[in-house]
Amino acid sequence: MSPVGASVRAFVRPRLTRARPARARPTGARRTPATLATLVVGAAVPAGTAAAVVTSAVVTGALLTGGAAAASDTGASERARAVATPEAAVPAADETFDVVGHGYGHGRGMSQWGARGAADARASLGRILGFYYPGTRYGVLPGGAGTMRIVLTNAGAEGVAAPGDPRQFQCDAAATDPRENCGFAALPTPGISVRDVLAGTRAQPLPRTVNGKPVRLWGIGVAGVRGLRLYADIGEGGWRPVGPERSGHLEVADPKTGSVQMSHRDATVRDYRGVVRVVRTWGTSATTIARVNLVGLDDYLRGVVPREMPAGWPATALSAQAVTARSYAASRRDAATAVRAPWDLCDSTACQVYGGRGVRFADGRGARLENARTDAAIGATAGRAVLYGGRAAYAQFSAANGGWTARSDVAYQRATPDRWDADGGRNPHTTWRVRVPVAAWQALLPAGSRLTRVVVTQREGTAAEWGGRVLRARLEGTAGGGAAVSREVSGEELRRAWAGVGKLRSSWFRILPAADPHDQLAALATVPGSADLATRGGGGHLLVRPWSAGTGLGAITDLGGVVLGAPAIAGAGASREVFARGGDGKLWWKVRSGAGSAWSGWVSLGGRLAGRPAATARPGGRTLVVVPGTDGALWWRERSGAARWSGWHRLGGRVPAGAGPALVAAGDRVQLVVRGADGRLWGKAGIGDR
Amino acid sequence: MGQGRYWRPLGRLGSVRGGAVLGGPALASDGAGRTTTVVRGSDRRAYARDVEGGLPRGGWRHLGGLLATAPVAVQAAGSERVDVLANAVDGELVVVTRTGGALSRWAVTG
Repeated sequence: MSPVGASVRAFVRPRLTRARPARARPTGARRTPATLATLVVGAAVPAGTAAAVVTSAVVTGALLTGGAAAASDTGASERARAVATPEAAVPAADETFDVVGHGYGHGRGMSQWGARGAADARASLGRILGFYYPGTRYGVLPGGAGTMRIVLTNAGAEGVAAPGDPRQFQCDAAATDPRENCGFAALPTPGISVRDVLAGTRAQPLPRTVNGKPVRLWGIGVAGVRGLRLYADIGEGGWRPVGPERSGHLEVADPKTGSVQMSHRDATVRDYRGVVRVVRTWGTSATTIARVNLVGLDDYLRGVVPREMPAGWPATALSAQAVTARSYAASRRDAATAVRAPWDLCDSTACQVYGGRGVRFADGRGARLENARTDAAIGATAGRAVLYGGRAAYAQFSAANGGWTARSDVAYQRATPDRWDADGGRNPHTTWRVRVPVAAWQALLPAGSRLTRVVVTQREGTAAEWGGRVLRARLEGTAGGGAAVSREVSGEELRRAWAGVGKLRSSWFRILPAADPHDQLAALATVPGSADLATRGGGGHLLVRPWSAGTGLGAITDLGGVVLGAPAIAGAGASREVFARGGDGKLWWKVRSGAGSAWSGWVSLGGRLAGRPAATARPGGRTLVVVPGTDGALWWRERSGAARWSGWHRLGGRVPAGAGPALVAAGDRVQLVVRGADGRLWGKAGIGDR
Repeated sequence: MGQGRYWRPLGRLGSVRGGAVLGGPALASDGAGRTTTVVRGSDRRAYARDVEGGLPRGGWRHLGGLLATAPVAVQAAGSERVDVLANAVDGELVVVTRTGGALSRWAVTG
């Protein structure tokens, strides 16, 4: 769950790494026509992708005005199912993806902000639960409250040294699997006792002293192949074993206080109601220990509800949170019992956040984690839960659903509009916009790969904006050796790769088409007052569209591909040529010989471009193209005849990264202007003269 | 603009009102030796300067507008008409036309 009451971690923008530009090494023209997909990564492009991109593209400029259509609205939230909606996006020039989204968390079941919005709108508890869990019943939890088994993962327990190799049993602070935590330590409270569960012994009170010295901490570490052993810290620089090896299942309790005060590795002490079982487990390591808190259901909820929802929120919202947390816990307990799992739930956002009764930090400050208002909500709803089929419902919840609940395979998790979620505009997660570093999603590809495109391939298919949450996407890129790589991922994987407040808060998002901050258009004059325009459209496709002062913009021709930055367009008479920097940094070319002719496939002209190309037709059926190389200089090559390209020639100059020249034929001479690295405009003529 | 094969400065960016050029320049030519360079200044407005016979003709001329992207300039051979197009800050594609010394108002392309 995503607790709305959890502290917000400061957003630190990760340092972006850019690929080191390679020295410009223009090569001879490759005349072999390439496929559309090889323009960027060589990956297959699904049939229909191009059309889908055009019709769903967000308009980046007026060049596309009239060419974009809004996604159709099915009008029935439950009628539509997951649909394939290819949407391709390439990174912006600053190596980020511009992403807009809704909600915070998975969106299934109750929205916590929605519960607050409903409470603010004076909706009853029953109405709130009925809306978020349609088809369920609010009633008495069968079998009573019972006991929960919560595996404690907080920060890892105090490391316990073992004879011979103290390091062997040190905890791994970075471990995320509770089984990787390897020790247990507790304060020597007045009635602390230990019981060997497997041996069936009675609880054995632990002494206040060992060897005549007061015990500062009691610890439990591994012993032998499957056993555990008691240790005491008596201030002699290490842990002293106490007593014989015991079974691998010990229980620590203090009947006098009713709780166990666990000492954590970061020197904080957490107070847990109930007892704590220390269980030797066998996972990836033979030295793993799980700490499982056995606690009554409602005592457990006293440590959950104020962690999941601010205690100052309306009482009805707190009651809804108490009921859903109780229902969720009971359903997970049923599931764990059915498979004989050693515990029912974890204590983190992966389950429900559970902090125990209180905490004391290393500096002596303490905090009571339970709250009178949430305790009251738990008490007012005691013994009652959301029920489905006579059992506790799997009552998932999340911070905010963005205005639409998310559907799942669970019968009572349906997709439907949620007018409470916005809470009258107070919910800060309704709509958000972030820039996702390319590196965040690039990390999902094999090491050393470069992410060049993200294609959203499947959404929920609801009537929600964009068709709802992203279910599937394809990451495309190039491996270190230049080979194409791609990987199918879920929307949740994309979210988790850069999750959090100020980051990706849910999988209900859309990647906006990248737009260069300055250069976007290219134009070719045709007759006075008319031109053919070219630009990079949504998904990185190259689009061509005529313009006339008399009739305005004409129809868009989608030339496909995925291009970086602005293209160049040239031509004489009815012939047209377009040039663009592909995702591989090379110059790519496409040509149409006449008005009624078909466009060629994309052809790589090689080179290593650092910015947009410029091109112009010149007398004699020749075409000149000039590009900024990654060495900071300008390079040119020329076509004469159908496809006879010269080699690359260095024109020199020093241009800043990303800058592109302008080129125009004036009679039989070509003029060029470029912004130099010194910030001045520089001109040159006579390029490629014979 | 240089007439030969050597690089020649076209003018300091500082001489363009707005202080600097954002994005790349654009070029148009009448096909008879006269070219027009169009840039977007850091004040997001368009400026143009003519070059004829290798020599600048006058200073930078303020074309106005409030542009989100660098402009493009188009001129058909033999025509005096220069059309400058760019995306305006509101996302619309806009155009201004200079014919001889006359300058039109910026208009949204239909």
